[in-house]
Amino acid sequence: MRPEIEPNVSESYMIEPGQPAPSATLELPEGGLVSLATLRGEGKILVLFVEAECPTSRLALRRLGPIVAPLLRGGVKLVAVHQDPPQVAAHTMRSCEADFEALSESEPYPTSSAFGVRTVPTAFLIGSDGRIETVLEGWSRDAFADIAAGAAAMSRDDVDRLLDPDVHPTFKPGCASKNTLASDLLAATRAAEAAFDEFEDLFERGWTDGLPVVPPTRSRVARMLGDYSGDVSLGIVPPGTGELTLERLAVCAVLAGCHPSYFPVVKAAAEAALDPAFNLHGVTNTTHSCAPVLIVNGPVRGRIAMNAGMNCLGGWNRANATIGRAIRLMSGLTGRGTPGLLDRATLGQPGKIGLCFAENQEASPWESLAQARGFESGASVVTVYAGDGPLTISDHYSRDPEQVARTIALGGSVAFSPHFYPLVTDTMFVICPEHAAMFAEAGWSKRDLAERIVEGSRRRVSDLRTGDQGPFTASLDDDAELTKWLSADEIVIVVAGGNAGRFSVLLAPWVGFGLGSNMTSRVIDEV
Amino acid sequence: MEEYISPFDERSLEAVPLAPRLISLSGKRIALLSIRKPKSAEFLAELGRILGEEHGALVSYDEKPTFTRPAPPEVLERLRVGADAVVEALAD
Repeated sequence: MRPEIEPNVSESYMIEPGQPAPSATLELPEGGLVSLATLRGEGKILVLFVEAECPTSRLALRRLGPIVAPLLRGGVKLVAVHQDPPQVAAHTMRSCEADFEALSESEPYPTSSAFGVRTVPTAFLIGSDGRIETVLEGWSRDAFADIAAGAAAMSRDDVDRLLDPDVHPTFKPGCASKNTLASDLLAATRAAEAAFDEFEDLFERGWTDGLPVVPPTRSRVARMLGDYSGDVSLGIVPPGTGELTLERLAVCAVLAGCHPSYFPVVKAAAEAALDPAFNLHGVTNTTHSCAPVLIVNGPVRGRIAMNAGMNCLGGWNRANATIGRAIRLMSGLTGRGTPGLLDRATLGQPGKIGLCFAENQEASPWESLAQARGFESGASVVTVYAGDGPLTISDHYSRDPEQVARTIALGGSVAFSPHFYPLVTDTMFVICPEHAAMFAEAGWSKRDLAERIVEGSRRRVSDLRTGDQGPFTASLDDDAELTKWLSADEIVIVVAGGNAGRFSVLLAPWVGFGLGSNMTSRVIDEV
Repeated sequence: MEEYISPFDERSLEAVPLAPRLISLSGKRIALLSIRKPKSAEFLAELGRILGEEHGALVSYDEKPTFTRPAPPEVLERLRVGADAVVEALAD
């Protein structure tokens, strides 16, 4: 979209006080257009034309910062009009610590021409009647102080406190305005644009988990949304209470590197994570290391080429890696669950970048996780579980399935803390195909394995009296015994991984006793 | 260069002004909120004793149902109506 302009004066002369301000439509840094008249509303507006390469422009942006709030209180908005693309404008504002509205215009700079801007910075104070009250070229500390004192009805002392008269330079001429340059000269001024690195820019904005992100351009977000309406709200993302529109979720999916075909999975996972039963607020805030773990079942796994086999918990598959990451960016960015701020994890773990995998239903002798949770066998389903980082449990040498189950039980009994018995929460084990085949050959159902894991965790209370202890140990005799889980219902079994290797995995839960998080699942839209 | 769409909800950043600071604790209603982590009751009991005996505060005790979830509205309302200031005990 090109900004529209209706010049109402000759382009050759700068607009003077008393004349009506030209109407102009400019680009907002985050996309979209806005007119100066709309921005001004019923009040006054101070329009400051600037350009990224001009030191005087940057000086003005930086020095005017302290008077933005007093001007606003006096009914005067301050807006910078950048002769640069929106991203460069946003970068200039950030680097000058200028926290006010920034608009952009591009070649041939019709708004600058309509105002007759000859140098940047040039400031126009537009009154509530839409007429120019003051024009100011270049940087003049005293002249801006006059505007501030008059417009914001401040005393000169107050203005001096904000715009320190002893900070030099108090006067500095501006630079050539881009609308005055011939095209060959203009080409030479594109250094700022050429030096602009969109990936570094996104790091500076903080739209990242520490890894590079894909720029969420309007067209990429539109492709991610496909037939979904971006206005639909999935609710509020805790802990920072940002509203999750599908557009914002699509932005997170683009940032994460998702292919648009993954978006129905991301949407279903977001719905599951926002279910109050999952308690995303606590999962994000806690000092524990847990993070949402996503497990995908059903035909969608093949359609988007997810990995359920070798290294399926370790990334290096686009769908696995980016779907999990999109959900973490959703809670970290839209939900403002930034580690170190609202995310208080003492250590965290790599799954906090994202952990998503598909169940290896083809290698499993049992019903899938989704079926075990009551979904039809043909449905594509995503389940969200608050899990710690994977702990690999090796047993290559036991030939008796009872012994393997005991190995897995002992590995699992370290969950949360080795002496904390019982855990009283669902605990996920990822059983590798070789282990699963052994159990199946013995005729074991999932339930049979779950019962043996519970039984294999049994310990005497005398061994459980140190460190983090469960609430029952204090009142029990030394000879009494406890199991890590109250029943096999709490053992969640998923089959995944490559066909070779007898390693299964514990994905330990967050806190138990109904205080933490419950697994939630959602059917994935067929699109 | 194409424009970007933000993942943030700018409304979630709207600032809430701080309540006026207390000049003195004497005669003021101070609520001590436990989030129900282990040992917080012991810690708050001692803090309450000091605030009451040494500073003349009118101390009351309240708690969230669990540390893992936000305080429910009725707890926040009790604190809003019944206290001039709140001390929240967070950790184990």
